Amino acid sequence: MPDLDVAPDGRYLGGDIPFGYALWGDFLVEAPAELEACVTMIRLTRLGHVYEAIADAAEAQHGVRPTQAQYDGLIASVRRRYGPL
Amino acid sequence: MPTVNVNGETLHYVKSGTGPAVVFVHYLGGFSRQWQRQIAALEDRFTCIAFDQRGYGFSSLNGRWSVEDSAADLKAGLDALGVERAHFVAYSMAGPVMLSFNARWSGMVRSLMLIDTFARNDRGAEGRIAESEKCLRYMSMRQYARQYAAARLLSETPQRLVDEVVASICLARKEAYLDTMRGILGPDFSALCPLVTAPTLVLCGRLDVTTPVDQASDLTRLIPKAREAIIEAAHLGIWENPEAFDRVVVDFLDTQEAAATTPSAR
Repeated sequence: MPDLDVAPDGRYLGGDIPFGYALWGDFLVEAPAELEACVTMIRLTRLGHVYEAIADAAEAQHGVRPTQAQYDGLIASVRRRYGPL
Repeated sequence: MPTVNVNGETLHYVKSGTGPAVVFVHYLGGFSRQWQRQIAALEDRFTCIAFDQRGYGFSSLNGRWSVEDSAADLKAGLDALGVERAHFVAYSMAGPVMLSFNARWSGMVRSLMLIDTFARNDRGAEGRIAESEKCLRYMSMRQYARQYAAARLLSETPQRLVDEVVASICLARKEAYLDTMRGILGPDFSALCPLVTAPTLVLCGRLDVTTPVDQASDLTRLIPKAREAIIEAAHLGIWENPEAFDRVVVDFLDTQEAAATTPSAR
């Protein structure tokens, strides 16, 4: 899967669209339910839960279900930004 | 909220209490309000001062953020308030700022607390900065902060306090935030540590993975009059374990003042 590429002015240039966002024209815009789910996904990962349980929780609590690739992408980005979970 | 105009920036600050000066310097994404609990505990016997650094809280960002400029802002701000000497309490990103400040104006530093900070923090720095730069091109500070809080605060931290952390990060300008990461992650400030001659307390959370205990121990080893305190917390013990955090801060400052006023110390 290609890495997300975003121009300095915020324009989407290509690659995977991160969970929590949608492409509108040239820009990524917030998908509120998915962004709520992102917080839940990060917290549950820290508590030691695995993908299936986390996706179930996201669906139950926020009505959205990340794919395994979207989950992996989010957690990889969070680890790069903030260090180990 | 009062302001001072220094070095082309307008810095907001809080000043409260009477007595010897204590200056609080906030962490990355923090601002002066983060210290309100400690100020409330100290203002009956100390003059407590906390600035919003340039680009943070309600202060301006007309230039760029750098360790040296932030230290110079602090000096100019204290000059404007007529403060000649003070105890300094520095949290995380403020560690390098205070090491730089001390290197230039050590005579102003009566004592120093270095909290969850480091002289060198280059583990994964390049990737951390690059990922944050990319994310902040499309991500709001609010979403960045919410994910930070979820990733870093201990899970038992009350939601009210999580919201305070998120709110303060939201006030940070993206440019300042990224400039700060570039300014503090990677460079080695170790050579400035032996220049700290004031009594120093290095405080670290035992569970801190952002600035782990071994980085605190490096500071303790490099600073001549440093000792170390560990509390049960991660990187943000000020929110995660407020009772232990406040006790260490207040005890250290009271001890410094008591030592300064005993006959043998005169």
